Amino acid sequence: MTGEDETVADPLAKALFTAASLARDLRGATKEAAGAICFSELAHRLLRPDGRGADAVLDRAFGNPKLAPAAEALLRRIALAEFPAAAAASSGGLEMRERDSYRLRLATSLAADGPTYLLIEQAQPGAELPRLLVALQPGMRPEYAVLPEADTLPLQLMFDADAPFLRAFRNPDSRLFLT
Amino acid sequence: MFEHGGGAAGLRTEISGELASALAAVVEASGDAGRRYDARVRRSLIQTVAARAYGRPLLELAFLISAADRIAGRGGYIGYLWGVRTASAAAFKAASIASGRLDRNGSGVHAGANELILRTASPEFRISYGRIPFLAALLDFCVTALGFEAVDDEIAAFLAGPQGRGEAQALANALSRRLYEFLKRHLPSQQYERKFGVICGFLADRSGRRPAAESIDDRTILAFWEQRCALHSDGGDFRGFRTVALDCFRLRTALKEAAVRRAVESAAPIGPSREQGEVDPEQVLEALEVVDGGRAILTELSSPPADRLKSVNKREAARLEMVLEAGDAAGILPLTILRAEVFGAHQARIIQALRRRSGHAGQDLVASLIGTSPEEKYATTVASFGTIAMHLLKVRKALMYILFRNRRPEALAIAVSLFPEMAPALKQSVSGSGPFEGNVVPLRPEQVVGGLIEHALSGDPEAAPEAGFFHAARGAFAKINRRGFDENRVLEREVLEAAEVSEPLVRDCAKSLQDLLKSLGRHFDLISPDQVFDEDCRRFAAALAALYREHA
Repeated sequence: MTGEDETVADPLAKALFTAASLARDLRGATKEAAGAICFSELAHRLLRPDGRGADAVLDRAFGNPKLAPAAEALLRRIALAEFPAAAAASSGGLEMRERDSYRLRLATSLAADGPTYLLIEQAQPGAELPRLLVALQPGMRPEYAVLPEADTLPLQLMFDADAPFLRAFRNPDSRLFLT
Repeated sequence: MFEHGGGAAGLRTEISGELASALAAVVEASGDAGRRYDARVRRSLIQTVAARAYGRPLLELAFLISAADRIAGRGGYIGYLWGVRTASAAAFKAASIASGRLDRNGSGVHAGANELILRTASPEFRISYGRIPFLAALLDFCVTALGFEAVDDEIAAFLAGPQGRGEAQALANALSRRLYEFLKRHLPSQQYERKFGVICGFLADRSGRRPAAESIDDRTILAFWEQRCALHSDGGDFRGFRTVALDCFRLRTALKEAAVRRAVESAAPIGPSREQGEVDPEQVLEALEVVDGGRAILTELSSPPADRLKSVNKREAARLEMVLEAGDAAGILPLTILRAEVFGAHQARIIQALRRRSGHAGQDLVASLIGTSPEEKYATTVASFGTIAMHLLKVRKALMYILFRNRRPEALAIAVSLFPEMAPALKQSVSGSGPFEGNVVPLRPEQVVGGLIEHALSGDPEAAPEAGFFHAARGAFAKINRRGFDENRVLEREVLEAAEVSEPLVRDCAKSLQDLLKSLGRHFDLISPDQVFDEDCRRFAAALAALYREHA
């Protein structure tokens, strides 16, 4: 028998030794790698955006080059409606977008420096109540608007005239997702 | 590549950063008040990946996805599995029962009291709510490791079809192939297989027979390490004594468990043919769950929810690591644990000197360290283990206090385990004296236990054993000045939950430590710790000089 001869040992013992060693090292390696972005956290925030800290989770996910494609794919998968990039209106920005069962429309207050309203309306019967509106702009951080709880459409949100979300909405290159 | 294991272990693993990040993203995910997945699920996921035993769970997952997609509303299976933040059996049960689509529109899914029943499969497929958190974690891992689009494309194709048993198996196979390819690149196992071969070869040469758990003792482990130091040709596999000790602990457990299973299998008419090298990953996982269970104790104590109570601090945890890694061998390989603690730390200082200094000054320092005895002697280490054992006893009593105050019956179970000599007196309290003493079976045991706990809280410690337990528990609790052990928070739900989770973990720590101390006590009754230490200093100095001869 040579010093390196392993054929005498039980194959189950070998598999078990290997698995037990891997389990230990995996635990250690996992501890060192802590701090990674969790897909479950992202998915949950897109499905239930009402909790605190949703913005931070979505920012981290969409701001991470490795996770951003998965985040966008997930968004597309669970979206009630996706509003693609569009040609700009003659005024230079979009004031309305319509897709599937939903119409998104901006309405400006008549008062000087007044707020701007975003109306989410039903374009066709049977539209489900959305919870979140996400605007993805090329090369810029995404913008999110958590929608108020309601029993029926339309929903109305109020923004300051210079709110980043409005700039994202009007940007013709932005894609919007209603989840 | 990761390097960890601490100090002289210097264990370099070939686990990729990508795999570690993917697993970390799952096991570290947040829930409503703590982690998304509980300790049991986190441990099972790591064991399943390590044993590569994901075949059957992926089939279960395929059926779960089919059921979830049929009953969930918005988002389909995604909404069902990720719609809950804390992945618990209760949360999935509530989500299932609340679904408006159950048994409607021919969904073919029934949410029972304990399980989801998928009636479209033939025969029908049942998934217990308790299993769903693990399957959700497995899907989380697949999505994180393989990419959401790749996994979702496979799932979408499955959901678009008839979703029978064959189709579910096909989805499981497709995901299994992808995971296999991923783990082939990111979780190489050759390093461990090589180690197994080398140690088993040494054991076979030494004993002249097939390697067995019994052939691994303190002498053999030290002799093996000395031989590897002298050979000086391992490429780092066996340089650290601590690493060698850990490998031998795992090998001993693996050989013992395999032998037990071999004995059971030999009685069965048909079984896997191990002699041809066939090993079923399911069987490996099953055995791994047995041998690995106690290894994660410190991780679990430092994770939610147990970490709300600081039962063990960092210094104590570092001392306990080797003891817990030894598992049931803590009482069988006591000197190896002691050597790993004392000479492991000594070797770590040598390695540190090698890394930090070069040239003549570095060589002089290394040579002088090799020629010097470790800073800590065995007697000091044993005393330190004894102090921790006393502390763990105090913590168990303090946890018993929290459970008593919350009127939890587990408090009495701890009391009996801590004070077994008082069990007859406690029995007497329950059954009372009289003609039926010892023969009385209480009709309502929960009432009896409830009464005992009430009496423990208000009774006379001198007269009633249960009141004596409570008195001892309160005294221990008052002496612990650590996070969570706060009289004002004893009745908080989070503190109670932490105590319930911590108690069995602390109990297992205490048990292993007691085994070690008893065994060391027997050993040092024959030869004094200083004598053993002096002899070991000589042997370690020689081995270390051989190992680092180009520096010494």
